[in-house]
Amino acid sequence: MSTIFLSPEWFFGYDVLFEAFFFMISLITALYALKVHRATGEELSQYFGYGFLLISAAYLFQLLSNFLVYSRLNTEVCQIANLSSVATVDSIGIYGYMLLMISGFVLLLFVSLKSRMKRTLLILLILSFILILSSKNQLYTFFLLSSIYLAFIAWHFLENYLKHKKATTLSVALAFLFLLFGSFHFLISVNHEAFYVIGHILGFFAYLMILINWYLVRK
Amino acid sequence: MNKRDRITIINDILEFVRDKEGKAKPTHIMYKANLSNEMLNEYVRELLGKEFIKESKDKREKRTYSLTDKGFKFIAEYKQMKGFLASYDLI
Repeated sequence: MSTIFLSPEWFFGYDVLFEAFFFMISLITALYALKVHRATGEELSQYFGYGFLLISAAYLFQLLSNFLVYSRLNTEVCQIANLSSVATVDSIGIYGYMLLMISGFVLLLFVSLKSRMKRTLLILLILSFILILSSKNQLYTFFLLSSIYLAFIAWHFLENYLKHKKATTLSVALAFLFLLFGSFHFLISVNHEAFYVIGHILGFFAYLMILINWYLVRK
Repeated sequence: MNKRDRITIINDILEFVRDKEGKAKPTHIMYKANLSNEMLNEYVRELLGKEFIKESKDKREKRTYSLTDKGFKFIAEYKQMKGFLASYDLI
C-alpha cells in the first residue's frame, strides 16, 4: 500500500504543493476555532478546532511522507536495495494520514450531530480505527468511511445554509461538498491515477472556499 | 426572549461594563444582561478569569467592574468570532 503509486508521475511534487495549501488553511481554521473557544467557552468550537487540527496534522504527515519519498526517488539515491526503507517511510506517512484524517472527520461529524456525549465520539473513533486497520484494503476502507462521514457533514452544512442563506454559510457548504466529491474521486483513484489528480483539484476548491469564508467573516 | 448563545451574553456584559466606564455594579449587569444571580456569578467569574474585566471597590466598598484591554479587544473581534461560529453552525 503506497500513496506514490496512486499518483501519475507528472503530478509528483505538485500534490505536495496542494497538500501544503490544505495543511495551512486547515491549521489556520483550527487555531482560530480554538482561539474563539478560549474567548467564549463555546464547547462545539473546541471540538471543531481539534477536528481541523487533526486534519491539518494528517496533511502534514501526507506532504512530508510524499516529499521524502519523491525526493529520494528523484535523486535516485534510493535504488532497489533501499526500497524497504522508502516503504517504511511511506507506510508511516499513509497510516498517520489515514488515522489522523479519519479522527478529524469523526470530530467534525460529532460537532455536526450537536452531540454532547463524549461516549458517542469515543465509539465512532474506535469503530473507525477497527474498520480501517482490520480491512484487507485499508486505503479503500478509509476513503469509503471518509466519504460516508463527509456526506453527513456536508448535508449538515447544506441544511445550515438553507436555514441561514448567507455567503459564509454557502462557502462552508460548498467546501464540504467539494471535500465529499474529492473523497469519492480518491476512492476511485485506488485504480485510476487521473482521479488522484482530480481529487486534489477538488480539495483545492474546498480549501479555497474555506479561505473565502475566512475572508468574509473577517472583513 | 430567544435563547442567547454564550458569545452574545459575554458581549452584552462587556459592552455594558464598557458603557458604564468602570462603574458597572453586579446588580446592574444582572438586569441589563437579563441573567439570574447564579448565571451572573458564573459569567463574572469567567470574565475575571479570562481578564476581560477587573474588579474594584467603590466608596461604599461595593464591587464594581471595568473593562480591560483584553475586554476591549473581545468587543472589537466579537462580530468576526460570531460570524465564524455561525458559518460553521457552532452556536
